[in-house]
Amino acid sequence: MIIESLTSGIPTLFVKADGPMRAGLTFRVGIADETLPLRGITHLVEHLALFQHGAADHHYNGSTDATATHFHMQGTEEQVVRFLNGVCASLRDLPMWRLTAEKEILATEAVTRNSSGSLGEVLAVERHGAATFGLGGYPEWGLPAIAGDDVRDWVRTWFNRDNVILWIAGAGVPSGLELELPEGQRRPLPPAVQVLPATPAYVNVGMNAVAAQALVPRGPAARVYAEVLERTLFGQMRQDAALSYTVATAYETWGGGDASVVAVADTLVKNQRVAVDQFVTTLNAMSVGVGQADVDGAVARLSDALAEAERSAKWLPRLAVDVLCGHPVTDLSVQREALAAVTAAQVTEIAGRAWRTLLVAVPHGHLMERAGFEETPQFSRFAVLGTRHRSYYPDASLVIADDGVTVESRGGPRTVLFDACSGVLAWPDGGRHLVGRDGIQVRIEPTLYVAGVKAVAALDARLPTGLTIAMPTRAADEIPTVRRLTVWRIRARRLGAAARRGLQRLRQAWWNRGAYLNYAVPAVLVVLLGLCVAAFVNEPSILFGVWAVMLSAVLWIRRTTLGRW
Amino acid sequence: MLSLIIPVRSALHAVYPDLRPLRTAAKARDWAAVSRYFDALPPGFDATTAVTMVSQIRGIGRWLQLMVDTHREDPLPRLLLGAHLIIVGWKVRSSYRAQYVGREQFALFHEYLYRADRLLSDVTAVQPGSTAAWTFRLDTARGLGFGLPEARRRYAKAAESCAAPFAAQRKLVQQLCPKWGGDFKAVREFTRECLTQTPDGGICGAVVGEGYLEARFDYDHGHVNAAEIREDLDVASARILHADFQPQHGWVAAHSLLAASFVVQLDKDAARPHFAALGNTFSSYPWQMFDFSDAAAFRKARYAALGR
Repeated sequence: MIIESLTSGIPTLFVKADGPMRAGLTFRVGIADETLPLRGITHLVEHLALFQHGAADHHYNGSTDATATHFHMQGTEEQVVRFLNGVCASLRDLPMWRLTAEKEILATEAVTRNSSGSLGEVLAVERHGAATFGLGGYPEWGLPAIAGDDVRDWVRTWFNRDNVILWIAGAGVPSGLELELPEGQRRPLPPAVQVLPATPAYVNVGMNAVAAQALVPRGPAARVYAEVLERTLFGQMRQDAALSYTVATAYETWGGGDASVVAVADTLVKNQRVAVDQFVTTLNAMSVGVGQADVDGAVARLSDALAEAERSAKWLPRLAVDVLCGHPVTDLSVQREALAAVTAAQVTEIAGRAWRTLLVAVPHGHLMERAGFEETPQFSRFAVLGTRHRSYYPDASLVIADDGVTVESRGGPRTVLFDACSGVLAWPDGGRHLVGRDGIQVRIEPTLYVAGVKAVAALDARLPTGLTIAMPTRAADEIPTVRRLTVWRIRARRLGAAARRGLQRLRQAWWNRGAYLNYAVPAVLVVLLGLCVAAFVNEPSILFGVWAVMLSAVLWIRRTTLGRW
Repeated sequence: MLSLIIPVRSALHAVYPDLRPLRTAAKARDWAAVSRYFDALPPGFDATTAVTMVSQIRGIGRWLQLMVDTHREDPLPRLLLGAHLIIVGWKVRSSYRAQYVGREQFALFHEYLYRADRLLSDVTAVQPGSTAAWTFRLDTARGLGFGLPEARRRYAKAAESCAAPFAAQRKLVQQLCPKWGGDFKAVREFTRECLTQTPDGGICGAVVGEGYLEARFDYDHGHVNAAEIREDLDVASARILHADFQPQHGWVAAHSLLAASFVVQLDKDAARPHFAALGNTFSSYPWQMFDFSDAAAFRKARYAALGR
């Protein structure tokens, strides 16, 4: 039975439970609220807020996801009170002297996390681009340049009394909770803009796995769908065909009306083709029909999982996010009833919805068009019109215009418009890396363009303020270079081309000047020849023929020399 | 004898006079007029022929690219450029069978088609009901080897919002032929299906002729039951010669296909009304299969049937 109340003006969700007390604060701010230049700031705030608890010997943690930041704790009533009061005190006055050190820690954390990689994040970037729900797929690029004032502004906007929920599972709401936070306002969810033009779609990734992500209406049927999908994929890809080791699905909600269902199956390089076919066939088959037995099994397993969640109070942070986003408070018993009422028809409908919104990641070299998938856009629809800078490499050029930048290659243009740009990484050596809101990226290395330095200067002059992300100095081997020999070869080729063009123009001028001469001399000769022949001919019909031949010869010479009749 | 002096024409703008203002506009690089022409088309109209005509104009690619870059939200320039790239790509590939095409030729061909397919997929994402875009995407699917199920899916999309997707049907027939990985049984089934859906006065039944001619000219795989085909050809012929017939884009190709099919069957009497309807117009396919010069082949066949 869940009880709602107010603790120091903060909405509180309380559940009576045995064992140690579990409690936490959930703020409505996450990675999706950030921008690319401030990417990582929420995580940084979370680390700074928890710094003073570093030496304590109790179980506490913090986490930052797409739309929420959690601080939670397990222990005695007294420990919980101290922790929560401490977090609020830290948020009121963050230990700014730790800024540099915590940035280092975050950079280290990112390295360890990136080595495992996440297909779900890759898919989120493909679906949402470099804004809101796609930002999680980008590194914490903002960290090096984020200053103390940025952090203070961020905390003032998001970490306030009206944008948080307290949740507790234990014997009772403990006394002594002060939880002093400044006033503010409840923040709405960022819009879940999609950049995919059409679905089902696919993207090629350099991983030995196949993954899929779908957006479906949230609810028990979608949860059951994810569970049935995992079991079916496990049975077919691991048990029957021995194609995969790990088969997993995840059902995630962010507080909005939709849930994301992600499925991943790994595979060997030699089995890729079969594995992708099997994976896609399974998803397609489920969109046509799901068996009642599968649904019943999934409902039973999910009910067990709910019971487990009740024991560990793990469902409370998720509920807190939903309540922060305006959903009603639903008790576990209600959730259990809704789960038991799910029918196979409902799950099939969700599966059909999932198929229509599907985005799959497949290893390189797969043509998913065979299965009716559209490729996600790897190029832009258009190029900008502006000053063209030639690259040392053939078939590539850079265009800098007042409204954006384009890099053209043989495959097509990649354009980032300044008013649809998420951020620009700027290195001191002149390297620029523009990220468009649609996820299209343009890399400009001045060393690879004939007038590279000039191009970068022109770009910097046009960039709107607030987009640049200052990056630390790069090592010399990280900057691409063109060999000196290549530079000279290209210069020589360009000189040769200019000389050839000049020669051609000269030759053309000569021909144009002499055109009438070229036409007139042969024409006069032909006419003279015709007169000579005609002088010896008495037969009128032959004479007529000779004149006809002569006339057509003159016309033909005129056509070939002048290029017109 | 006089008919020898009168030229026969197969160019789209010569055959369909309603396309002439569009051609004039495109040759004058007048985007407003081109755009106006396409905007004025009624819903459900198959614009494939009009798009083909514009994209065939020599040297129009650069201008279309400029229109793509300047009209950023408009799918029309992308459709026209996509169709143009398909034409350029196929010129690179040449129309020979795959074993006679060089490796670099194929690479460049695929590059053009990929670029075209990207442009066209963007069009179909914005306008899922664009019959013309889906029809051209049948070409890219065929050239890039996306396989029969994908071709059928694209055809289904093309047919969704158009009552008589004749161009798409013809392209799918090509895809279903053994040279592109299908078989004549599937061709037969599909053309039959098209025929049964054709109303009186409709032109789509003529795809039966295309399937038949492809089978007759494929010396490796084509085994045709002439009598069985003949029934279908007669039905298709009756449909198009019906009093309800209204000229629409594709009617010249339809009459040409049926006339050529009857010529192949050595039945001048059946071919005669089709030649009479064609007059001095014809379509390059199927006549290019008979002779080096499509015009000469058409003239010869017409002379045999009509005596002029």
